[in-house]
Amino acid sequence: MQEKEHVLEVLQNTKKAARNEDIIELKSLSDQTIHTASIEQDSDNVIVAVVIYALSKLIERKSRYMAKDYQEYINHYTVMIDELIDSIKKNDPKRFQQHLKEIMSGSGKLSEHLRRTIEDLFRKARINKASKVYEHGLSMGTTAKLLDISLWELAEYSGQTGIADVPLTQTMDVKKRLNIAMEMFS
Amino acid sequence: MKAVIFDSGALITLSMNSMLDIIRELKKKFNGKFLITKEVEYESVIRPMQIKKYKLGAMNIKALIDDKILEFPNVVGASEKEISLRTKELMNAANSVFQARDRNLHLIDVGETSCVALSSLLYHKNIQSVIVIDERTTRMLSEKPENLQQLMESKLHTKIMRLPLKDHAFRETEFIRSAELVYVAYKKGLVKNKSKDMLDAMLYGVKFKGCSISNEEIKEIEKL
Repeated sequence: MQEKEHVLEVLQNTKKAARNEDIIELKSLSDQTIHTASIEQDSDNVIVAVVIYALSKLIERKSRYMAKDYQEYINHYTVMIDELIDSIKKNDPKRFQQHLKEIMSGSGKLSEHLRRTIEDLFRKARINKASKVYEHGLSMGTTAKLLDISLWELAEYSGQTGIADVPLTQTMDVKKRLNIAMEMFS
Repeated sequence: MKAVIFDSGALITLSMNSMLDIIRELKKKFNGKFLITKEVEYESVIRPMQIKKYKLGAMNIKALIDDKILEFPNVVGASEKEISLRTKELMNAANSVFQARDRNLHLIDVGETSCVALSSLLYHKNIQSVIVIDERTTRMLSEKPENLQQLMESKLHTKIMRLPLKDHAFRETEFIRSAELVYVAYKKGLVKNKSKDMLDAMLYGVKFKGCSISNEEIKEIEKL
């Protein structure tokens, strides 16, 4: 994993923010990780950003879940974050990756409904983070591969954002590009 | 001979808007080939066939291949091996242009690069080509890399170093988007509903499914 110290700090702050149910701080921590992930293109960094963002959404939607189920999963989540922190400190990347997987799969006792909800939550978190990475300048293909999502999911999601409206992305006069197209079909 | 090369994103955009018929209609009027690479077929057809939500869209693109509206580059004498080799060369060139924190930024991937590779091979066969691509990074890298540098610096909050793009293929390639394709179809009367509202609906349709076109650009197109 790249930038270990940074990830360690982010995870420690994540624990604090989760305890305070500070959704804004969690989203900001996820975004910070995405800056690093876009540069390093390290899949562990990317998944950490996804995990933190999913946690923020889980807390945000707390009222939608059965209290017992929710609490059980949040407990599982915080234990796993402790494990992630510990595996970074002990320089054990295999254990780190195993715990990331465990967060995303949930604990064994979850109800079928919550399990499916969590799968959906992580899927959507991946797409959201992919859109952020694409916004940072990486191509759609590179981004989709990094987040392990399909181009269809990324195209559909990013189309709803303002990414295409950033003036820097206009690289040719509108008329000139239309002329290229019209000439090709003349 | 001319050729239009389709990147995955443009096919996906048109498929998600149920506008693939535009490709069929344009092909009837076009004196050349509509091409896709194997990499683009994987991204736009083979992978989404495994995802229920996108399976129908993928099957509609596959129908264009089955009907030989979209063809593979071997029909113009460009082999898979040639494209693969050229793709690797171009990826190496493109992905060492920008550096942040002393490391190269991997910007573009095989799908997009295979289109530029094919365009480059066609150029040397004297076949005029254009790439239909909806994602903005490949286009920016080719047309205005300084804009891409500025964009990344502002988003990543870090200094980005830019080296010259050594391979000429990117600069020699011309790009359009699904939006321009829609415009051509509209202007040529290939769309049944000829109202201005229809053009507006189609342009915003492609924008909201991933075509990198701004509101301002759409307004300009509609004024023409």
